[in-house]
Amino acid sequence: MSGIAGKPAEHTQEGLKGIRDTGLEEVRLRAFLAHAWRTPKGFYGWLVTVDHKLIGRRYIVTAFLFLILAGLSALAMRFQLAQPEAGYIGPDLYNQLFTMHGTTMMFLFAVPVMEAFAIYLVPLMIGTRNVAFPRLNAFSYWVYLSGGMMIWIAFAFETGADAGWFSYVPLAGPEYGIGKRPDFWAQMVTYTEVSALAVAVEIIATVFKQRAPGMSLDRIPIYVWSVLVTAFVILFAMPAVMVSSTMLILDRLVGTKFFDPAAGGDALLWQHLFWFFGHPEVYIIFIPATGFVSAILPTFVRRPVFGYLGIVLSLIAIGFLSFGLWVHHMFATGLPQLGESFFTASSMMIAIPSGIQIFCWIATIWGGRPIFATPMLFVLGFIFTFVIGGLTGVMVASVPLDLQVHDTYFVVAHFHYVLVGGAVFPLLGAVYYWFPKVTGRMLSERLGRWNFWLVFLGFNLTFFPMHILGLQGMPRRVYTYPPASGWGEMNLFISLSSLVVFAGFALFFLNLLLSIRNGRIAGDNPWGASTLEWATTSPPPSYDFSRLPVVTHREPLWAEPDMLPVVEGLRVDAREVLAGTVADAVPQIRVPSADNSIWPLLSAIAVGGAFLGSIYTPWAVVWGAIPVSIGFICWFWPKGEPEDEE
Amino acid sequence: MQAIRTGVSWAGLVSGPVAWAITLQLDYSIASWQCHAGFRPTALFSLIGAAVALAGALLSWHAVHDRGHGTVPPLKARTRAFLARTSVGIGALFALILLAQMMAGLIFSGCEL
Repeated sequence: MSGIAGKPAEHTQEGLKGIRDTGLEEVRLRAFLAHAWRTPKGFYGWLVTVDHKLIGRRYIVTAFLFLILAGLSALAMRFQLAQPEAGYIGPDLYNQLFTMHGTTMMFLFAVPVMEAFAIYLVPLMIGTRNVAFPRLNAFSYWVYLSGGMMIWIAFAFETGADAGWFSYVPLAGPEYGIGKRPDFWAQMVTYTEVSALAVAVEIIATVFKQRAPGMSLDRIPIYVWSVLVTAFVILFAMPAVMVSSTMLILDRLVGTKFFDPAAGGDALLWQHLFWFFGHPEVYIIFIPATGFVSAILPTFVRRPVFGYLGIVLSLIAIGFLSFGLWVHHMFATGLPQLGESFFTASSMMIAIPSGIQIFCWIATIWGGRPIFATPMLFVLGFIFTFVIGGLTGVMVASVPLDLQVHDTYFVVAHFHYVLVGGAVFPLLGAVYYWFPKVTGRMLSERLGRWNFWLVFLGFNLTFFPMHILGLQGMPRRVYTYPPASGWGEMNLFISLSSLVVFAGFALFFLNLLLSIRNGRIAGDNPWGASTLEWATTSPPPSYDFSRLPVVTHREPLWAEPDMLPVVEGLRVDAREVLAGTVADAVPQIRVPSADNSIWPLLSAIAVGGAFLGSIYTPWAVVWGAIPVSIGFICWFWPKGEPEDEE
Repeated sequence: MQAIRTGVSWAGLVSGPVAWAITLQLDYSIASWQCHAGFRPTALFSLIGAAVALAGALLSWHAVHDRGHGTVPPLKARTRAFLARTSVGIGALFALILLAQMMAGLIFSGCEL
């Protein structure tokens, strides 16, 4: 493929400018690339970097810190519920705790961590050097971080959101919302959704345009398909919640009446807008997790995944269908039964593409030679747990049953089976699987097995009894219950079991901390996997690949185990990536890739300041627009760098 | 006519979800009105939606084996066949979903509270 992307090596009189990789010996090539793609050392480098790996890692660490906060909130709630009429936590704090738990898990942990993995892995898996719009990537992280910090700092000052993770009106509206609590929630949504939308745009552009030559649609790794579908779901789902949370702030701050029925508004409008986002949100978390499974499974059964076409088809179908299920969250609101029944139909039919995936994975295991390493254990745990969550999902898709168990612990059990079983188990498996690539070291298998069994058993012991509690009538979101209810023993059992989950996660973090320094050296491809990220060093260099690979097979490293064919002709003195056609990945043009910059951070500070100020005064939007505009103008102003060259 | 003969690889991918989205929204909007309509428009619309989804799947099916009489490069033909197969599956799946939706329109009159 030499020369495919441009003319042969061009050693000009102008020093390094315009120099290409064609014919360059490996040592010189790497030196040039390391210089062109470097991140400055020290604190300043940390602030200005646009390296997708550094930003992805940063996202992952931040998301796991939020997981710890949300987990501790859950433990506090279980402490309170361990016995009837316990007085450790009052109703006000309890309301804040369950709201912060749900909000953090959904907005600050689950979605960002899935996007974070995509930011880190997608360029490596498709054979490019950075995401499209690298500065937007950096901007998205700073906005996400500031939104998450804002709501937790507010919680520390007794202004924690307290109207549930879905912040229903009128409870969160001007009549009943306490102080600024719902406003902090609403603006946190704006921060995190701006961030999520930015990442979605990057992922779509990267996957469509920057795939390695030869990686046609039918050769894209299934994980990459999954994040591509997820990015589209984010793009169409997130605006609904941004609009609704802005309307909520307007009702509370400016006095609009969007959700006030007495003034011609509609309280149900909130639920429609929220769940039009909220149900796809479940799939925004779940779809990438199925991508993890489809990435991990072939490696540990030593064969390609069964039914590639069926899985891709299912991912796309689930992406579309996720937008037609939202009303099943509103069955108890008194909508016409005929209208509800359409959503029952869609809710039940989504079991078909989900089932296709499950059967494809089972067939993959059936036809392979399973190796039960820790990532594989989490995949098996996922299949077991998610099937239970899926079955109870079909149950609550039925209106009569849903009306009986609505707002009970049955629903709590159901969605934890779906979200923890369906997303967190594959996520933990993914951490074990890709940790060697990210750090260059292996996680301890021994601790990993303990980690898996503690989390798996602890999770099932904690959440399965909640189905029974729900059927017995225990409502959600209550800070206590009377002794005569008979729920005390089951609650005590659940609270004790939650300690097992806690121990499992403690072991997980311990394993990370120990292995990052002392873990066994991994090598480039410790699992013998087939996808492109394993073709580079562990951890990968700043430029990902010294020469961009050419893909000739769906499992490139298994098809070409000795050496991949590569592209030549790219500049090495400036950041450059290759862009190709959407369907066939035929190279079209060499594209400059943005260099490090402080402006994404400064712009994010300006945007964050405007968002924060608008909690208190609508004028913050007007005055905040000035620094935001300055930030963006400086960001985009041509600076005579190689990326600005025609 | 050329499109019908050679097929359209992406037809089912578009026709299924679009037909379903429009029909779902339409049926949901007229659910209360059906009670007084004297017939079952929601079932009818769902059936039309299913037909549109299937028509798209059929167009894609034609594209699965179309190699452009050797004029299309092998890589392009393979990608096109992959897209066409995916579209057939998506179109058929959404037709099935629309038929399930039609059943709901037949079972409920729209007068139930």
